[in-house]
Amino acid sequence: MSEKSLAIIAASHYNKQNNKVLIAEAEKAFDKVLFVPINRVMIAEEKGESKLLFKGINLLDFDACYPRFGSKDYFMGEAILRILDNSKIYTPVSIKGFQLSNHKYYSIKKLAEADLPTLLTALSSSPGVVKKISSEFDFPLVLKLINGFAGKGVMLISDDGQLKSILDTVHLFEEYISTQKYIESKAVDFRCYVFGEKVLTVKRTGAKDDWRANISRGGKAEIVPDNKKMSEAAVKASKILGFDICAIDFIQTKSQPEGFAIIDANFQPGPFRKFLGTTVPKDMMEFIRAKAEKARK
Amino acid sequence: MLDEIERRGIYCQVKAGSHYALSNEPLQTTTLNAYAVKIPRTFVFRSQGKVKILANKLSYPALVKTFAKGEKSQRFIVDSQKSLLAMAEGVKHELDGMIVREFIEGDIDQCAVIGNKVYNIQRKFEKGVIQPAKKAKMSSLSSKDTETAIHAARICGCDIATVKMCKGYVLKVKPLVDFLLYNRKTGADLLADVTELFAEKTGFVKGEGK
Repeated sequence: MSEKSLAIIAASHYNKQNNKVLIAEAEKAFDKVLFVPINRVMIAEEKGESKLLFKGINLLDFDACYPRFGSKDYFMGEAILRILDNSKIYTPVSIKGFQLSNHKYYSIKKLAEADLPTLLTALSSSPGVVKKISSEFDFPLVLKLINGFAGKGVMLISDDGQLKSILDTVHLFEEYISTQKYIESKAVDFRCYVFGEKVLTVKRTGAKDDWRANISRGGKAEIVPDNKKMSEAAVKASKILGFDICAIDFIQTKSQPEGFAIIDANFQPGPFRKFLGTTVPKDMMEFIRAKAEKARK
Repeated sequence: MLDEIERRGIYCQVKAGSHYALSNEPLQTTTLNAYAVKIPRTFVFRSQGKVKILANKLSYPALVKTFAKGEKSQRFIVDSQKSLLAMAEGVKHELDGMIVREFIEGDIDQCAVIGNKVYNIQRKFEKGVIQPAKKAKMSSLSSKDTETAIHAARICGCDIATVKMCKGYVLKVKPLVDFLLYNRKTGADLLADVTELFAEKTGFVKGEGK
């Protein structure tokens, strides 16, 4: 195998511990690894050419690049992803994927159009739509801020009064929200990490007294045997959204013939180190390495 | 919404996904450059410290824009390395990012693109100032610049757009056109062109219904 190099572009506010583990696994898989906080990247557009510069180094000279930033970094992030999309460098995420996955309603819409199992979802910002929403959805229902992450910006709403109050607040901040049907799940969901065609399924259980299954909010995670149909749906979803690496979250529900529905797609999934060790970063890096081997041939 | 309009086969003058490049200036710049549209030399970054690295590599004057909370917050033209560094020092609030761009000195061609038609009004650059649009005069464009304006609009997902250019460099694409301004300046009826464009795209023939 020839020598291969990887640049990891991290979010402006990145988790140091998670990135430490990611870099350690990257250094096992690649001959050269460069960790680049997005705040320190400079984009140069000149003479018909684009460059991504960090300390004078052009990241486009690397064999692979793994961008791991979120919606807060959209100003630079979208332009960086556009440049990567147009280059020969391998990257497991696309600008299309970034844009879709940072919009909780739009991503579900695209997946539903592809006949993947999803929950009834609406998009709104106006308090005036309260009556319409509450007539389409039974209470309780779930409200999500469009750019929310790690369970933040996700609210469980019990009645019209609560809904109107939240929408009034959201409207004040000129935010859009996605409304979704609530499915009782006992704070359990399934995260399918997708690496190309390979899937790792993780069962997440929420903290006591939390209806959400997010690990960052005190829940726990364990690897479980793959559900073939769920894995196929996860791989299909990742392709539709434009990712080679991502996490697709599912909830079990009898409302879908498959027995599950997609509730979220995550562009830069956390590795759940406490419960899964280095499994996820290891799989990520091995996958990217294998792709980088083919990319420049 | 644009995605749903397109999915239902309804014609719209802006394409699904176009709002990203139309609302994020670095993305627009990168996209235009990726499709071989001539743009001024441009640098985008977040950290003000980058200004020190750039300052002695730029030619002046340079245009500087700062962005905060998703919107453009300030715009400066700096005429030297010293004034660029002083400007950067003066920015105290947290930024989404900065754009530093080679400033092309010259008259601004402000083109209204309606399908394959282009109407140009030129804003004179005099004594370091670009005159406002209301003082612009109708001006012809070379066929090359006309093609560039149309190409730039299409790259950004628009059949109707205002494309700002200077000496053949595309500076900005916006999805809106001030029709009344152009009608006044050019004597043309741009709204009739818009109607014609929509009719062409939807296969509508007057008198025959849909």
